[in-house]
Amino acid sequence: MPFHSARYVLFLAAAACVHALLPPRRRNLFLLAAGWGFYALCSLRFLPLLLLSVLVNYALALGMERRPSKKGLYLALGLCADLGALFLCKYLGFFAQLAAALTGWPGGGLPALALPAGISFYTFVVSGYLIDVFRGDRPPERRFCEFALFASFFPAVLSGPIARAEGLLPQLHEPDRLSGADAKTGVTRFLIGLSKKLLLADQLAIFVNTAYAAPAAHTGMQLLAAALAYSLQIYCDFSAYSDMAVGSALLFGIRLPENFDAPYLARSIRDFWRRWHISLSSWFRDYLYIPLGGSRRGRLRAWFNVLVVFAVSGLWHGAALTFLVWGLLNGVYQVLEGLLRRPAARLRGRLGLREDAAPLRWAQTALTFLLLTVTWVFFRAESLSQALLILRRIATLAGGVFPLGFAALGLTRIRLAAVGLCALVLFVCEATGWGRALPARLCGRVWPRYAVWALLVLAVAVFGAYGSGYRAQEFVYFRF
Amino acid sequence: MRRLLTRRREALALVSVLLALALALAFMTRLTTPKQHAYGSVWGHFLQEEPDSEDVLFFGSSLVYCDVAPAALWETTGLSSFVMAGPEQTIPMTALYLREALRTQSPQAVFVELTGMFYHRCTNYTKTNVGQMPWGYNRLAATFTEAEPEVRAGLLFPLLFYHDRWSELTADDWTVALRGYSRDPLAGYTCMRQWRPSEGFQVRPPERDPENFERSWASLVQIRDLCLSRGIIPVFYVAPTLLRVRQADMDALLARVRALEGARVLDGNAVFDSPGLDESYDFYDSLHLNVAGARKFTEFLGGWIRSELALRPAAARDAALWRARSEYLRALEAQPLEQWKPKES
Repeated sequence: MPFHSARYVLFLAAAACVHALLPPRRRNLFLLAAGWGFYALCSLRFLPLLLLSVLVNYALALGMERRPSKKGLYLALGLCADLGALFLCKYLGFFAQLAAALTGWPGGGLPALALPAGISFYTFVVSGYLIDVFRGDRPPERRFCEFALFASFFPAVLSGPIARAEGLLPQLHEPDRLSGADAKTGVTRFLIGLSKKLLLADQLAIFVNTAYAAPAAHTGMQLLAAALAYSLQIYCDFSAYSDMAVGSALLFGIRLPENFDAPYLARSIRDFWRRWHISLSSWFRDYLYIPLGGSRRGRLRAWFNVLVVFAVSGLWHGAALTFLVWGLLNGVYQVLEGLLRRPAARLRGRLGLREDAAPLRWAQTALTFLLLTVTWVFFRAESLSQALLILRRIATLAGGVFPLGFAALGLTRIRLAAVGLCALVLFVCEATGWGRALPARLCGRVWPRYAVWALLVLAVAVFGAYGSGYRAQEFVYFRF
Repeated sequence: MRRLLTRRREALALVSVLLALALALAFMTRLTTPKQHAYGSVWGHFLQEEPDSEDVLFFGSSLVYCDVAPAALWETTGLSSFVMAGPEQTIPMTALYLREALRTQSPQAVFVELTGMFYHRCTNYTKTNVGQMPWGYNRLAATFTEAEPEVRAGLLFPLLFYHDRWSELTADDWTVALRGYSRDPLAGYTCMRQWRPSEGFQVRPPERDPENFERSWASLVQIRDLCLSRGIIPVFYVAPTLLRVRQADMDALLARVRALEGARVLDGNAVFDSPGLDESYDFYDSLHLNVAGARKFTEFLGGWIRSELALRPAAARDAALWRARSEYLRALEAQPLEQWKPKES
């Protein structure tokens, strides 16, 4: 049940209405039932796995409190159970194939198991909680309903944002957290997300899918356009999902962590990773990078740690070499940034450029965007060889520059222009900060708020990628 | 007090914006829905006709809108008429078309072409047949009883089907959306301008589905009942074609229709030679007449109506309009027909 489907909108509206009408002390129980019902509608056969994960982590956290001497054992058991399930479902086939390719081991034909919906996300939620309890950062949650709701809150269970216990659990203990202002902000966020998905991400998907379906049949310019379009598509797609998740949660008075902060305005790859998929990046920082030693053990070790974190992050996105290369490339970029920091500062000094000079800022932003676009080619490609083919054709401008032939990628000129206009609006909103402030600003203003809602609905209804003639595009991150 | 005022303001804003949104969506639906000027289902044009101005209405499939030219009927009999057929229209769909048409017209006779009795329940043109109907009970009934489940959402919310037409809108789309349809100079008739050498009489592959046939029969009886209850003569006829339903099936159907009290029957294939149809020149294809054949068949129908039904033109019809329609049709007929050519692959 994707967030941009009529079924989800009806489900959300019904759940929000019932939730608001219930007495406050019954609301969490209802939300939990709604969450499990939602998960069952999406992936009924894997609901027991989610319930088992909830039960095991709930019990182990309580066990840590009762028997502090066995905390380590309980943590190990919990992580083995959580990450073991994730490994079995997501990585067994991949590593078996890899081992077979490297060693000739005959077990490479192990079939890949079906991936339970949201397993990468809810596993990180409960694992993070268990580690927090182990470290003594927070006491274990005693109330099962609240813990289960924390692990399986329906707006976040499938694709995040990856909630942290310190942020979400206290909210679940507030009996009367519902507010009209939050609900209004939530609707605005949801509609902004819906617009990003249907006006931009899914229109760009037509363009991108056509090029990636047959890269050898397209010119270097077409592939370059598709690669740039994919950079925009994946941002619009995932940030749309996050907007809709955050907006949905606000209808129940719950604030989920933000996942994005204008990432393509980043001036470096490191800066980008502070702004992109923030809930995942901060999870890796707190539960992997820092335990590995972070930057406390010298520069070399810090760079090694960065590479490890980004390799794991790549594999977290998918069990394929393309994702591994994507992650490693992001890590390598950051190592190179570290190496070049001092020479770049010296060069700036010689040129008399201030660090925050506008031309430098924009040049850094553009360069970062281009470097990221290269990594997204690996992320989107079906295989390493396809990614390399695309990059080679782009680098050599295969097929010449003119005619550009963008219309051959499935979007007519007028549609391309419309997508360009929407992208420009998005860029202005991000660059000026209006987009972020808009939902809260509209909250207290009656007429502008309703006018913006109506305009967004109308824009989606008329220009959105839905209905006959379009193949519904699932959210990219639903696959992870 | 302040809270109450705020709530009132919220409610007022919500209602106003919802209303504005509904109007905007309705306009966008009207703008993006394909405009139907020919090939049946021309409801936009039909609704421009003066109320109670048609003496005869014709219903059925393409065998009606290609074969019957109302202007020629007016020349022959002085009767005003309109063709309210639709592509591959089934009889249950025709029943709903008739109910809808009778909301604005009170004809003396209604002609229903019978080949639709052999069509499957849902044809390739459900979207057109239902989607062009005016909003109301009959459209809803057609959506839920005659349309495939997968197209229902789009029939209820046409932007699902057509919203992406915004990038290919023509001046005609804007004109119709802003000013509405004009009167159809051909009164629902679609002029086919090619002739195709005859391949002789042939039998259509059997399409009959017993369960659906009985459902269609029930609708046919409803059509008869509705007509009789309004003092309208129901006429069930078969259009002349080269490609025909199996004779035994058609004979059985015609016998059953003839047994219906109050119904009149005309088998165009049984009297194929009477209109003077030239099978090597008057057909657009093995099913449909071209403009020359339509003239002959319509004049034959006019003669049949005069002798068998004795209808008289109603006083309300607009003579100037019908003269203009007649001249329009004559102008089309004056242009030479082209020989049909197979499409190059």
